[in-house]
Amino acid sequence: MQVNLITLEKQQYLDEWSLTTSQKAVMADLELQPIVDIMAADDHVIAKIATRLFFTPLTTSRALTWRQATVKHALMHPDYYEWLYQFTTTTIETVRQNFWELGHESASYHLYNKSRLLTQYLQAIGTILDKPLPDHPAPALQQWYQSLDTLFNGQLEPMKTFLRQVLFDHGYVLPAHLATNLDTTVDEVIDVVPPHRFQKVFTKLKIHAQGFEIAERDDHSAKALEHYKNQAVMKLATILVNVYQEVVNWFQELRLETGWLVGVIQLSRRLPAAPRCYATLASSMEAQQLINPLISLLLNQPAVANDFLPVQTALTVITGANQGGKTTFLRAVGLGELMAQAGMFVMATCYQTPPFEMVLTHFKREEDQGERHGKLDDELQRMDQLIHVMSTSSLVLMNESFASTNEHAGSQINFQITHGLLEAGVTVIAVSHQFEYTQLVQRYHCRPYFLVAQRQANGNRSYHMLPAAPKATSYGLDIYHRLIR
Amino acid sequence: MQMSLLFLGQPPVARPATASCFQDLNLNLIFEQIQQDCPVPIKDIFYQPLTTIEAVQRRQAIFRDLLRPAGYQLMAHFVTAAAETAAKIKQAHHDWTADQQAADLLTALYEQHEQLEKLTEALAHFQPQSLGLQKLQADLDTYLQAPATQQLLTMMRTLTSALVQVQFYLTINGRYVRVTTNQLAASNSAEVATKLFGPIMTDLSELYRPNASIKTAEAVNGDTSLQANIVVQLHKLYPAVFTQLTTFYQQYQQYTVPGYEQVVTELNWYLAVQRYTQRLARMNQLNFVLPTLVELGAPERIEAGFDLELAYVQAGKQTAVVPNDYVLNPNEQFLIVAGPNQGGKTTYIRMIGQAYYLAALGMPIPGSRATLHLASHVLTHFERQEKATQLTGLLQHDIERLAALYQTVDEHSIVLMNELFSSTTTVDAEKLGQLVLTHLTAKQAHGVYVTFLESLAKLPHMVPMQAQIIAGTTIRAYKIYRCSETVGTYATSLLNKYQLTTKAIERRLKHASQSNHA
Repeated sequence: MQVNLITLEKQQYLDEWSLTTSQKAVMADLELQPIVDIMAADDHVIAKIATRLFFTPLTTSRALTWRQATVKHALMHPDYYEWLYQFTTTTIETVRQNFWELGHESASYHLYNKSRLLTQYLQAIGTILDKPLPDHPAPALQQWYQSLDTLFNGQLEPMKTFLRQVLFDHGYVLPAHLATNLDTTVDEVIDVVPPHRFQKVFTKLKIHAQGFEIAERDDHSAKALEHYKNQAVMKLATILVNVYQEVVNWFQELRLETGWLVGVIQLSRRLPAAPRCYATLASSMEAQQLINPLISLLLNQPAVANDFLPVQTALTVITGANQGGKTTFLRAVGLGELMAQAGMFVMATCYQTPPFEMVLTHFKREEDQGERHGKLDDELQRMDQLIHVMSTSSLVLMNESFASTNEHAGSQINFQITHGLLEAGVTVIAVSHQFEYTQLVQRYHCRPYFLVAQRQANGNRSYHMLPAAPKATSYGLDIYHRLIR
Repeated sequence: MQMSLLFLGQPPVARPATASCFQDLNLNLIFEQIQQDCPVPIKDIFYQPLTTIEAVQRRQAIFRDLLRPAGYQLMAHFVTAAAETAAKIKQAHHDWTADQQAADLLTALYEQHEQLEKLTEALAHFQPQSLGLQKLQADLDTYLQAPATQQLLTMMRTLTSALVQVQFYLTINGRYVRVTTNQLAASNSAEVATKLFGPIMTDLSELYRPNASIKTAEAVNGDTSLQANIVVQLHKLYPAVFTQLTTFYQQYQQYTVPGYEQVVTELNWYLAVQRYTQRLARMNQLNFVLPTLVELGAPERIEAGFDLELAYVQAGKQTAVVPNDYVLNPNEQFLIVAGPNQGGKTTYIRMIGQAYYLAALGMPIPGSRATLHLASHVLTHFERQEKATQLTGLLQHDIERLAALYQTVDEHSIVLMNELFSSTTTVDAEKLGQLVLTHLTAKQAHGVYVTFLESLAKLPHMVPMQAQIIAGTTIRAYKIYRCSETVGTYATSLLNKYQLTTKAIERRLKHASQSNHA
């Protein structure tokens, strides 16, 4: 059984997943948490899957369009998806209350337990099948419903009947042979004998020469007998456990996938209707009228839209006025990238991106003040850790990296690192005040894409980023003069 | 199998583990760490350094075979299986009943034979390049072809097939058990379940996948009255088989494969060393190398060496182990290392001492490239922490240890001295230092002398070296350079420290993406 509402892969999100150190840094640096919080609305399952999918970028057009189509349908018919998520969640929670297992249990216990639990899930599948689909379902939803219908239509009753029968107690016949060490090797068990016939077998057995009876208090042998019994039902128990697992996994996966869609619905309700688009994969990044969703979410004011058009170059360097919106813009690109490759809508009129395997951030940190090493060492250490997890197909966002030393040394370090990343095929977007750095990257690299945060004639910031060559002076003095008279 | 994978002829005399070099160079700790990851005792082997280049090269060749993944896997597989079988053979003699003893011995010996056959086959396929493993392969062949072996095999085969052909049916209800040769009529519920639920499985084979949550009741067979009763019933049904079993035990209860235990132990040594070095290499992103051994008088060097013990302690931690180079040219005898405290000087000489000693064991040593002579002795003289002793006592003890060192030292020795005479005045220490170095130079020995007295480097055949501080800070670079070599800029040395230079990043990222694709 497969869900495949938002992925083409088989049950992808069931394994344990947690944020790595570098992903935690991305969360903090890009301020992703408020977005996850709005998606989740206090539901920890949605929070987890939403977070996870930001860090599990889709890297093929096929996977991307498949998920985007479901997202579009979910945004048109939120009721159905919200019902499906709620119903799935309730079913899982109800069954969980009847689930009594302490690690390992014997085969006969599993037989008893799984037949009960499976029955409950089969009933839930019946309910889902009875609920009509909304109009013009997305291909994924259509496929999902049809396969469920094919598997269970007409089969639900025979399945439930069989599970009722399994609950009876049984006697067992085991074909066996000797092992070379004189143990009994039980061959593949073929039989669970119905109770009524069994009585007859043993009436005869008592008087038969090859029969014997285990003494009342021979616990050791009783244990061995129990062992054989468990072996006898092992195969049936294994089947039921695996069927149960298949069904549980399906429900869990369904909960996660619909949960994510509900998260997208909830986020969509809180964001402006425009600019919005769905990303396409291309050989280089390009965004038109990109905004940072956090501005409307957190500040409740219209965000400034910017174009980001680094044509055929893997290096973008953003310079310019302090508090001119450089960090906000860098975050807009980072968030845009995470939303784009998660298959959600992007806050831009047009968005294209190479299929990055990961987004990483190296931002200036206030807490980089380790007593032992010094700030610069901490920054280098963080970069070292990034390199450790980075793939050559990564997007690295650097925000005033290596500014904790003098400009000359910082520029040298920043340049060597940037150069290394580019040589390895990584895409870099860097915010920097280091003029020497901007000169070095020009000397050794053709055509870096330079953006400059704009300052209006009256000294106010427009928060617009425009392509321009970096200037030697920074605008820190303005702020200084404005604040200190 | 009468040969050794470790020694040519008689093993060399073992050095006492109390010798100062084992303690000073942390070799005792290293050997203990390697031992901990090895199921059989191998520690003694580390105290028997080889005395000829030929013997070392023989071990190196075996390591080269084991460096091929297939070589390591087949040997690791063999020694694991061998250990299990050895335990089973031992256990067989402690069984309760004669039938059980015989049956367990049969199982274990058969297993052992199969392992040897598999090993021979695997070796033939693997085609070892080393003489050692080639000889092992030949010896195995001879053993397996021997008439006595063939006779044992025939007997085991006959008996095993007779035993496993003893087939029967157990019918169980409550405490009642019946043993029959015919099956009682029954239906099959697993089949019904398969028909019903098979179609909903994404992958049908998953339906029968053993599930760890289903407890398999621990086997209580063999010495239960249940199993005894079953065997009693089977005796009646199949008498001939059990007579055969008794005969087998009488004939083979003392059987051993000649040389088997030794080969297993020796292979365990190679594998444990290999695991240890590869783990450290992986966790620290450092290299190991089998050094080229040269006669005295040729230039010697280690590129990107490091202290093995430090690498072990640092494994998996964020602080990287800083590799260092070692060069000793033909006309040079001692490196005189000065520099700040905690600047990596002791680590540096440990690295050199370990390299020479481990090279003499035929082991891979820390470094990306190495050329060394075969050291007859690695002699150390480190500061002792005897606080109770008075200063004069300490100095006297220092010189006593020196006298003992003089007795052993020869032209093939490596001598490592660390802060000698720190307990005396500068003038004294300088004079003493000159005397020691002049003496050792005359003896044609080589080595490293760590001191705060830079003047010692002015003696002939000495090479001045310096532990580096990062320019403009008090941060230690843990790099030891020849004084004439230029020290990198502040930025470069920082980048070097974190492996973040342009080249390093490119190498690391491309390396990572290659290993991902592999």
